[in-house]
Amino acid sequence: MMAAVARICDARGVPCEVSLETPMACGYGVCLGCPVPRREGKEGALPGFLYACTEGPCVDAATIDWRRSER
Amino acid sequence: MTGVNTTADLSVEVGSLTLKNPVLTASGTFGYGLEYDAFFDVAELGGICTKGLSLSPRAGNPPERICETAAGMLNAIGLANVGVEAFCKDKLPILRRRGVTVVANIFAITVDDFVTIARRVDADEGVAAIELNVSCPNVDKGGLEFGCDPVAAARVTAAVKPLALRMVWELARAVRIPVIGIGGIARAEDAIEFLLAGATAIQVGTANFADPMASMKVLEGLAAYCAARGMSARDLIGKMR
Repeated sequence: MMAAVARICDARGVPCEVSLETPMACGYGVCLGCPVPRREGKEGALPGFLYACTEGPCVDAATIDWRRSER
Repeated sequence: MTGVNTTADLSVEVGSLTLKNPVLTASGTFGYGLEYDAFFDVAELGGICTKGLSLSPRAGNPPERICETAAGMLNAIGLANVGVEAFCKDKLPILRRRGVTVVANIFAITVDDFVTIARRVDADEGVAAIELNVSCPNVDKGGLEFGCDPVAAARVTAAVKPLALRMVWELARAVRIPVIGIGGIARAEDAIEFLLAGATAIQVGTANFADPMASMKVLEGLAAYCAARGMSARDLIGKMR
């Protein structure tokens, strides 16, 4: 549903933030258990994913690679 | 000596390296150390083992990566890390300034890459020791078979500590090199048991996730135990016969 909302907003140029929920072991950026596919790389961050605990839970929907998220 | 306020001598010797105390934090459970800044001064620990470092940055496995079990957790992070260059450039200088004892955990597929990474971390000041990751079960060609079998792995994690304790006890009697105990250490009592069984130092792992202060609590408890008995940490090592 989030992906659908993000898609609709993207198509109409409406700003969209989503609130992520994933399993977490620590909640402060060390276990790396809460990855969410990231659309583009970010300087100084781990490649491939953002982490819901430290970068989220609310993020700009455009930062997420929704195609890889819908499995 | 900075660190926990205690009268006890907690220092131990692991080979040629003297640690101010035997409490280390396990690789993969402590990030690069700086993440714990908000909770306590990590320089007080005997040392921190970094997240496993590879030649290039690694994204790690797709979700889901973690699962809670009866006595801890199973994980398949896939060795996500910033890479050895970024670690040396961005993290190590800060750790060095803070006086943190850093053990760099490194991993590679080939011996050549192991050597290259080891040379890289050794080139900068601030790495006290290098830990070789030769058994990560979360990647292809790594680890033992049971690491790839969730049912068997869940059975093992139902009782991590008793197994680890026995392995340390047997190993410490079979080898002449220092043994570092790890597996289910969450409280000072656990750490003391491992030292008594023959470990020279210990690592706090998954417990860090449940309580970011876990390693410091282990250290404080160990300090109080030794101080109350007028013992040093070294007095405890291998005391169980």
